[in-house]
Amino acid sequence: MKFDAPATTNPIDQLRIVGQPTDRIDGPLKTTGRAPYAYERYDVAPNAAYGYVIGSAIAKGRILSIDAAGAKALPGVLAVLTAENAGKLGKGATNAAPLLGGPDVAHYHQAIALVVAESFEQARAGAALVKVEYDRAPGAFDLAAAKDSAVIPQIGQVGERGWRFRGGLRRRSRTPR
Amino acid sequence: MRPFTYERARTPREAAVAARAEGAKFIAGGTNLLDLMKLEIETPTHLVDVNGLALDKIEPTGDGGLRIGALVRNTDLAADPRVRKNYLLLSRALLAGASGQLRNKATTAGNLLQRTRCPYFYDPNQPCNKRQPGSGCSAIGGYTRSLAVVGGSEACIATHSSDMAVAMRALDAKVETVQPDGSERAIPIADFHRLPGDTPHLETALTPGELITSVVLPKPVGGKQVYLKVRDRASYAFALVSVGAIVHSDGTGRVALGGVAPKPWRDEAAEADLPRGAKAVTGRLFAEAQPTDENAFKVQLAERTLGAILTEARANP
Repeated sequence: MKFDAPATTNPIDQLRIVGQPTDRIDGPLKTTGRAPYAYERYDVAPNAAYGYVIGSAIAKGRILSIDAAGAKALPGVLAVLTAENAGKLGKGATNAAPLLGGPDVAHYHQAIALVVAESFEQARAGAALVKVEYDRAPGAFDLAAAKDSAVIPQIGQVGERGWRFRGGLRRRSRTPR
Repeated sequence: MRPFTYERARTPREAAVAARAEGAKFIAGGTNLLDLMKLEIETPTHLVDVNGLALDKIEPTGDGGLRIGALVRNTDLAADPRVRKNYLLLSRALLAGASGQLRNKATTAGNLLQRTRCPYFYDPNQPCNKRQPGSGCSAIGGYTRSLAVVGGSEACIATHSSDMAVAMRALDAKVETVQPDGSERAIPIADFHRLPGDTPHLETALTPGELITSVVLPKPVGGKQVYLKVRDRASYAFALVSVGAIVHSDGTGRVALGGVAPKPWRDEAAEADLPRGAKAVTGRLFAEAQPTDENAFKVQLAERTLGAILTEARANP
């Protein structure tokens, strides 16, 4: 595409909509605090429970044990979900790690437990009482140090997580349009 | 959040006595303390609410200065006509910080006492000498882009996050306090914040129970007053580098830096070099700097930020 001639007048230049002040239909509700969040729609979904996520305290290794007794004893706490009791956990197409880690930990602060309670505050207080024991494995956390061992993938190569490298920008830049 | 008891103090002295006990803390705006309590980084067992104390006025002092009550909200301080006229640096620094909602609640004294935003201080999974004395510093050898390049120690390289304090330092403010025994004192802002050394959990010169009652500005010094804050996004972010400067028409002036050290960073000997340009000043301010690979850019950024202020001041005195 060459930009060597002046553009003619287009609909935007007429400024019928673009450039005109327009009231947002959600503006009055939001600026006056009357727009409900989804969890505030008590009319549609009464008795909502609230979850608080516990993130892994290690980046690599295994969870040896999760002691949730303290959290479960708190008033309002309904459940403490972990990989052990959540049932079979899948992985979405774009997930690099399972959404609930355990016993293996995939990355730092990976969710390893979800405390569910009648209020957010109860869930958070419960989360603070969950005791987790880890077996920490050594990890590589220095990108600069690891740079020299990097490999440039070939187009079509399948990576360790099952992704096929398709070339991305590199291929596109070679293709005239 | 851990359980705590709560009381409303009726006089400054009463507040100081109540807060002297182990585990007690003052609460005013609560814009920092409440967040830290929810994360259980701060775990006070008793809160002394000082909001009812009549410390919310801005009044002239006998020698032409201004006495700012400890409870004056950041919004009100920034908007005060006397501050805007004579201490514009302070007004600009305040408005560069936080958000409108936070400034409406945050107080003058609370701003000085806010805790660092070092990411490791906020992560209870990681050792931090400020949060848990003696546990170690995760920031050293960790992610340091936002952290101090000068004034840190082997125990801590956190920065002080306040914009207001940088202006107070450049303006030579004094912090007035009352002790539990009723005695009063005035602490020069330069001595108010401590360097970490091997006790980074001790951040100020305040003794147990000591309550800030006001912050006093000396009489106005004039000059062109600029606060330039460089950060990763244009609003609601802490400074990578901030420069508070007062530049007089003869080229002399004052400079205090934020975002680079555990306290507002100023050196009166360094700023004597202001007429020679930014590089001369920052060269001395950072003479003892020990930056990491990730935050060494701050030294050059500070020089360029001060340079931009000086260029602008010469063009529009």
